[in-house]
This record gives sequence, C-alpha cells and structure tokens, in this order.
Amino acid sequence: MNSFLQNIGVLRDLLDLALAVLIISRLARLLKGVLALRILAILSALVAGHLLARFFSLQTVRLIIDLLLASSVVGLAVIFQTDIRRAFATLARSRTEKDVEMSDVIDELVFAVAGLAQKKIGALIVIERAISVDSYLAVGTDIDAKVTSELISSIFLPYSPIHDGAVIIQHGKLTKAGCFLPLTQNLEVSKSLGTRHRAAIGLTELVDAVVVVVSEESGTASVIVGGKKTEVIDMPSLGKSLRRLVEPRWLK
Amino acid sequence: MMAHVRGHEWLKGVKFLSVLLAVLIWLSVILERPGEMLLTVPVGLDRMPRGLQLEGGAPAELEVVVSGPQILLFLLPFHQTRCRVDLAGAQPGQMQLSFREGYFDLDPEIKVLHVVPDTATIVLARKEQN
Repeated sequence: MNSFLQNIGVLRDLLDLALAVLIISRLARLLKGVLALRILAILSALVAGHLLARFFSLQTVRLIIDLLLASSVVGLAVIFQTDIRRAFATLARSRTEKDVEMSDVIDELVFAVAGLAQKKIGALIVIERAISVDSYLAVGTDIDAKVTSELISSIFLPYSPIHDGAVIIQHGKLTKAGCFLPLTQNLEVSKSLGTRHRAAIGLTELVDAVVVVVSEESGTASVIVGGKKTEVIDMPSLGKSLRRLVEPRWLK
Repeated sequence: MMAHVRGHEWLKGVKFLSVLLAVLIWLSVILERPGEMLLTVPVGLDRMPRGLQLEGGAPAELEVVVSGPQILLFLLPFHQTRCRVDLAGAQPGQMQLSFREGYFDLDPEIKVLHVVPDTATIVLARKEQN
C-alpha cells in the first residue's frame, strides 16, 4: 500500500512536470521571433538564480531576483501585447462557424484577384478580422462601398491615383483604398520580396488580418497571415483558403 | 528554404528552453516542500563565568531532528551546526540544561522537532585557587 502511494506521488510529480512543459512550450509558441527565445532564456536564468540564491541563503540576491520575476509578468504582457491579443483572437475562433456558407465578398475578391493576376497588375487587399487595422494605416482614401470585383480591379489599374496602396475590407465593405501599411522589420524576410509583400507581412505581424497580394512581376497571388506568406496555386484554392481564414462574422 | 531551416531551429530552441524553464520552475516548487533530517550536533558551552569550571561531564553531541524546506536541508550536513549553551550568569552547583530551538544556529525557516537527549544536568564548581 505504501509503495503504491509512493508511486502515485512520483506519477503526480511527473504529470506536474509534463503539464508545466506543455503549458510553457504552448505559451512560448504563441510568441514570435528571436525575442521569445531571449525571454525564455532570461526567465530560465532568473529561476535558476532564484534556486541558487535560496540554496546558498543569499537573501539580498534572492529578494532582487524575486522582484524581477514578479515584475516580469507585467513586463511580458507589455512586450507581447500584440502577440497575446492575436493569440486570444485565434483561440476565440469557433470551428462550427466555419461551416457557414460564405458571403459574396470572397467570390468577388477571388474574381478580382484572378483578373489582376492574369493582367499582372499588382494589388494589396487587406481583410480585417477580429483586430482593427485602423491604427496601423497611414493616409488612404475613405470609400465605404460594396465589395465588387469591378471596383477592386479599377482601384488597382495603373492609372488610378490610389493604385499604389492597400485596399481595406472591414465588416464586408470596402472602406479604404490607397492606404500605406507598416513594413516588416523582420530581417529574415527574403530580400527578393517587394514593398507590397513587405507591407503585407508587416501588417499581419501586428494584427490578425488576412492580406492578399498580387505580384505585378510574376502575376502570382499569395495569402499572408501572421507574417507568413502562402503562394496561391490557383483561384479555387484562394477561395478555399479565404473561406477557411475569414469567418462570416468578420464580414458582417 | 533558409527561413524554413531557421524556423525549425527556432522551434527546437523554444522547445529546449521551455523544457528547461519548466524543469527549473518545477524544481523550485519541489524543493520548497518540507522535509526532515537527522543531524548529529556538537554541544558547545559558551561564556563560562570566570572562576567556574565544569565538573563531571556534559553531553558532547546531540541527535537533532529538524524540518524545513528541502532546499535548505540539502546544505545542512556541510554546515557546522552547533548547539550553543550560554552559561553567562551561571552559579556554582547543579544546572539543568534544556536544549531548545534557540540553542541551535539554524536558518530561521528550519525548525527543531526532537532533540535527544533534550535535557542534561551539568555541575559547575569553583576552580581551586593555587
């Protein structure tokens, strides 16, 4: 009976450790970039320092380390506020809603992208999801119109005065055009990518928006989410991808 | 391809550091659990009044069971723990010593559970003048 209880204790400790590993690795994966590694390393060093200070009864060092550890929670929340917001937005997505029939907006978008790609006309289309993109947009022209392939195509035609910026789709409406987006600061992004792609990556690193980019060099389309670029093979797959990423509630 | 390799390395780094951090946090919790330890502690009679001497014997060592956070107990065997009996103000004659917690130079978080023997009787006598 005693050995059974001891075994239970060991199993409980192992389960405790395994769950701690799982929670920390899951939380760490929500954070992006080299900073996440540095933060993990700094936290590990602080906890190791706490253990050593406790072991050798170094009261002052322990006090300092404990203060740093306690305040690190607030510090981390400030540093990673965007990542945390994005993570919560992702968690909040309900799977059941994905099965709901998609609105015409996606069809119009796909049709416009197909036309633009065929004519090798560059385009940058931002679809807002849970997090507002407004605070990250510079200049731009307010439009507030229904999303139609004709409107999108005409905005990106080379002689259009607002063809250089991004088109913004919010709540299923084309609200702005000619907007400049923040460029990515990520050094790992390929140098071969142009300003449109850099802007798309830059914005999606900050918010959970979905961005569709049409390259005027290659005439290919790509979907960018969370700073990651996915090449679109054909237009049906673009539609499928957008239906998967954009839930109907974000188009209402 | 390069970005993919870097991403893979990043993931490995995150996994390694997550495990390291989890183990360190887990250790800091585990090592705070209370534990018990048996120590053999030498007895030291301090501040013997001038002109007095110990007659007969006094226990040289005590067996002490202490309890406290395991992280503090680990180093105890390497730390010269002593039982210090303050004889300042003692008078000639028999004296009953009771080995209480305050007699041991231990970390405040470590508690004395049992002392064997927990009491001792010593006899103090005046030194003979030559």
